[in-house]
Amino acid sequence: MLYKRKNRLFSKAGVKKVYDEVHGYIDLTDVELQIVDTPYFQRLRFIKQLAAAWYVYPGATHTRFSHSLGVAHLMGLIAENFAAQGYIHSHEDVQILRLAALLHDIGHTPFSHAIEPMYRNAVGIGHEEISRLIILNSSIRDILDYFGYDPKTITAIIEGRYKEPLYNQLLSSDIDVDRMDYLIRDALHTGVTYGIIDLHRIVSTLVIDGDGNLAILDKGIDALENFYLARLHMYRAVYYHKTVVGYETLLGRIYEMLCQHYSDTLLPKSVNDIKKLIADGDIALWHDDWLMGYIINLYRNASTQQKLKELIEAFLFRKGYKVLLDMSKFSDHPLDIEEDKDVGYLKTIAKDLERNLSSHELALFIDDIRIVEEDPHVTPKVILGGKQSTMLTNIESSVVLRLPRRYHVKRLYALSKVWEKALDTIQNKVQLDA
Amino acid sequence: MSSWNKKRILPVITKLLRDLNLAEEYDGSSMEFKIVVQKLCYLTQKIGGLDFGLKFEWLSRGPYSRSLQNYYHAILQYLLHSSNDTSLNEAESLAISKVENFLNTIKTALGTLNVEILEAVASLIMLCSDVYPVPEDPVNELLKRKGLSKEFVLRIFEVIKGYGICT
Repeated sequence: MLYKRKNRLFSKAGVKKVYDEVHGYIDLTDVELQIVDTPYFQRLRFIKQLAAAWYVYPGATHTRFSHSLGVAHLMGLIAENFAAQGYIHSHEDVQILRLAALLHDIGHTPFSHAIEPMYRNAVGIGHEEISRLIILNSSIRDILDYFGYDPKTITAIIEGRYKEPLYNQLLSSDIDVDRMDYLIRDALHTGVTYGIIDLHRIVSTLVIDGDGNLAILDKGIDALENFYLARLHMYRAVYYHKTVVGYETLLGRIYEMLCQHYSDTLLPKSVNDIKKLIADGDIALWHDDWLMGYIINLYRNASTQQKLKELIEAFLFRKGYKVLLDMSKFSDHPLDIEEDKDVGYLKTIAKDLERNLSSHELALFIDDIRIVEEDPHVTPKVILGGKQSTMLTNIESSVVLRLPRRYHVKRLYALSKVWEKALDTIQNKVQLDA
Repeated sequence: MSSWNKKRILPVITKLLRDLNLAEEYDGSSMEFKIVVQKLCYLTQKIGGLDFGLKFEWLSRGPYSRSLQNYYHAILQYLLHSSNDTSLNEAESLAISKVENFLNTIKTALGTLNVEILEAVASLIMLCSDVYPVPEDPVNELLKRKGLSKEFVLRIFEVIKGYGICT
């Protein structure tokens, strides 16, 4: 395969500019442009960043495509700063980091986080692994080779096992470029203004401490605290919003049933199926719009199984899972699903309800979200007085110290059409128990 | 899908912490305890051959698995409330025995076993086997990043080589 020209990142000659709603003009180098133009990367135009959050926030229709460009741009800003300060030794490495950032989400499934848990649990593969498979087994590899970049270096950074720990941290840590971009982009598109962060302050105060860790100068501590607060608000208001979770759970159920009952190369059921999908190039069609088309066709087909049809109908016409009981709360400890009393209670209620309702009409959603972690490996450091590097959670005057460490999401849902019936059953049970 | 079970981390790591006297050494709420747990889990997978399904990243303090953030508290509770005769299956007992033999050899070579040594041991092994690209000289690579003495790292390196790693 022939490519137009060799990379010229720093002369800026031959760069293409793309206008981004968050960062303004983003420059793409030749190698980046060639990658963006592949069907593998174009696929990301059809995968929404926030899966089905547009059911609650109509503006949340932005895609993994714009997010990936944004992450590459932010990585470039920070890496060039670090190169100027001597923490990154070559401009070649700046390009490598930008490429890793550009490609970090290339392996997302259709509807990302709604579908991915099925692949993690049933197939034992996550989007990071799929990213690796795509990068190493597609024309992206040829492009990287042609421009003189080692594809395995890119996948090693994405997987966090590159020889330079700093590079791994930049792409995956508590204050990485991925989070920086998605927080600000998701806040913008949902309109959840308390999710906005002071990006430029964070970027301009980021440094490296004596141990090689990402750190922030003390003058940036307010921006860092705001970053944590914004994240907390975004978890509650957007990522784990009761209705958003309901529709994503519904979509996950539909997809599981599709995999159980239908055979299609775009419904891969094993790692080998995914490899084949990549080798055939069909993976370029494995996205949100394909899945929507697939379920619309099934909905119109008279022979589709009734339960599946009901779930598809619920999804298409916004009559999905509605929360019946929400026992979510903050905590300072990880959730022990087997021992937690609330979870036990929700399970008992669900079992009671199943006497009168079908299991597909009910959904239990349990998750444990880390808000702040006191861990010497990953907690951001703050440089105090220009010298001492201290973990953020060790700074007495920091508001982060007072934040809850975890958010336990514990909810029981029922399909809208049986919601009132289910609620009556629960209320009767509560009265009887009382 | 692999047959790993993360819940089994609790009895295995608790036994190692107790047998190696690391439970007494480090307070469960300390930062050192978290480093010890991370490195013991890494060594159990690498030296013991037991697959907990943990993926480790390469960070400035050596191998690190994000999933283990969910287990620090549970391990501490397990340490406080479980007895030592918790049933372990054959593979787990074998893995524990391999890790203990290995760390006891390290202890003999260095005279003690502490969090700094565990971090250096796990880091050297990760440099030799999981990091990309594998450095030509893992000892110097570690020295470059850590304020450790060359003699200290070389002594660890010799033991590791004796176990067929970093050869």
